[in-house]
Amino acid sequence: MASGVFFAKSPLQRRKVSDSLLNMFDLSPILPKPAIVCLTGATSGGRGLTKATSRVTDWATLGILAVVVAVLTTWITTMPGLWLLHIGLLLGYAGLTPFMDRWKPLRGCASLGVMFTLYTTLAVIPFRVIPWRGDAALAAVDSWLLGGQAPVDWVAGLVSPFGMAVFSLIYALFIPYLYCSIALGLFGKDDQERGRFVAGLVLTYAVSFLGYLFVPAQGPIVHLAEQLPAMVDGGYFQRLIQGSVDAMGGPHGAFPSLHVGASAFVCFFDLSRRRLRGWTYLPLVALIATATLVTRYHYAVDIAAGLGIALGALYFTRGKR
Amino acid sequence: MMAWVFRQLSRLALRVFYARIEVEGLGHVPSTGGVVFVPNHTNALVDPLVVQHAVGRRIIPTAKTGLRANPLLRLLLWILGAVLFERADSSATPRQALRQNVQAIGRCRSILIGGGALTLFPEGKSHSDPQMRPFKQGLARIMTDLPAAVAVVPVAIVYSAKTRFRSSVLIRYGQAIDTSEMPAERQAFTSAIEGRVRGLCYQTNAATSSEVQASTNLAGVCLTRFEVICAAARELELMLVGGVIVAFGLAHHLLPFVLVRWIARRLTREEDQFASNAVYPGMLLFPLLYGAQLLLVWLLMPAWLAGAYTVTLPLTGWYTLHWRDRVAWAWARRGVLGRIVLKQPILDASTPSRARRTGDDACNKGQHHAGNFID
Repeated sequence: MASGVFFAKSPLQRRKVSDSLLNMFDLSPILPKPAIVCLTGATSGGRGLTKATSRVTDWATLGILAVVVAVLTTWITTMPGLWLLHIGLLLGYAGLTPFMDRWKPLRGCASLGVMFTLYTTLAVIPFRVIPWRGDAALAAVDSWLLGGQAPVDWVAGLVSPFGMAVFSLIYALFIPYLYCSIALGLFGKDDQERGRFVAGLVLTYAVSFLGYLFVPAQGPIVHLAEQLPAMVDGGYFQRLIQGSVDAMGGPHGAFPSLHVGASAFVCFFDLSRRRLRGWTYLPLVALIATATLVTRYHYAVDIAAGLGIALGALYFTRGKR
Repeated sequence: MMAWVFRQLSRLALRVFYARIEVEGLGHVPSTGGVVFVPNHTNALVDPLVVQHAVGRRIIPTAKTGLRANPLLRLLLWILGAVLFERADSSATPRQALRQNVQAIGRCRSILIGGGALTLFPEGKSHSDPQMRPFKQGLARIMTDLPAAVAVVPVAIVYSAKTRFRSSVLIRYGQAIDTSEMPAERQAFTSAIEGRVRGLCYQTNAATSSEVQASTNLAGVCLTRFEVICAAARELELMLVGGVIVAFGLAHHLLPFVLVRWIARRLTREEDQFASNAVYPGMLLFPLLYGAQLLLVWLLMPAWLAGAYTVTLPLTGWYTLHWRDRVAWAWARRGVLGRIVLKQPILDASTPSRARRTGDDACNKGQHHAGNFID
């Protein structure tokens, strides 16, 4: 038992110590400063950010809803039900904002709830209302990147049935990783950190949805199905992810890759706060990025875009130095 | 070149043995010109590595001639260009000892005149006493009538638990002493230098204990049961998921680790020797066994897998160390977390009444405070 007692003398000091206690196992000075901190300028300090991050969250959520409503309004006769749903989401979120400071995790729950709803509805909307497709352009950029051969094609030649099963499992692990990160990011964290986490994640989703909406693409699994060799059988896990994708409305939203964007943001966020959790999941994030190519749901350019969005979101929610 | 390689290797070895190495007052270290570092000496051969750890320039160590008995250490001393002194308790005749020490003092003087840096331990022998031992007059002899300006930098080295793997060390470099303003008489000069190093050690000890107290003994801090459960969930997640990486890291580092620990235990006669007996063999054994492992992998496995293994090996080792620190930290606090979750009182009768009262005032209804956070 240690001798002596330390007392937090002021409320500010008490809050500071409480925060350090909440993050008590993160021995931040021990872990090296990752390159991501240097790259984005993200810091673990910073003051007065709660209001700023709340504004970012609200504007990103309302902004993407407004864009979707505007697009649907143009083609209102096509999908009146979805138009009503999005109007309802927009008004509901706007109506909730005055109450969001009363229970701190409410903003995160509401905004991420909106994002997950949009993920489902955007499986349908762009393919019904947007007159163009992005697959051909994305495939062309991809081929140009690898000097003529599509990266998906190149990867297809290397994967065995066992490899496919492993990468299918890794692709599926994105869901528990994301949900677990969201739960741990929303609850039991100090306001400032929660605010930054939610703002960054919502920003990642909102920007990615602009790509879903205006560059509708189904990915190589559909667009290059005839040009690529037949997919090897990945067994149970491959069937599991195929079933999940079909349940969400089939392959959609190839550009940018939210599998990469969201998982990279969560991982980079932890790294920027010098959390061991970030280093723990870094290999998984790298493998998820590879799995999106192996399972043919994304082009290489989608992965690059997802990474870029995650870095951008981290930059916009960085702390003041 | 060899000395440079050894410096990098020793930095790495220290980073492995000590979880936290904090450096203060590095700005006091002159980047050019002759300088003598004068630290306290409580951790045998690790102390010169610690003094060198944060300093960019090459520091030539001083040592006793008895170390030459070990052929590996003799080679190392030669690589580092160490200056060797004969101790009073050595087997050499007084005449031989005198000749050796006169030569060593002459070499120290020429190094300093040439603008080099030296580490000198004026306490003489490494020890585990709670207080510093009286300084010997060797430094005064070296500095007498030196024809060049030489800075003397007092250094305090404080270990949280010097024999414990993954403990902490704080290095504090003091203000460089202007020797032209010091007394010319040897005893007075030595006492003045001793006073500066002693003062620095006391300051460092006091600062460290208050910081440790502040960070570990968190009375008056309010935490809800829910917040504690969330923190525990985070730990559990990390423990389980990180455990997969750790299993790999452990499997591939266990042999060198166990071997080094066995050697350290076998060789250690006194408390202050343990870290040296772990760090120095570690610097030799880890690269050797790493090399053997990698050679085997490159011979037996396809190139891409061997390449992946080469990258993974040091990274998983690094991760395993941090994961271990983290789990140990969480395990040490399991009691207080459990008491908060079970809504049991945390402050016990041994806590001063004023502290308990203030702690109670600080917490709102339904919240608990985490006093005496170490149990």
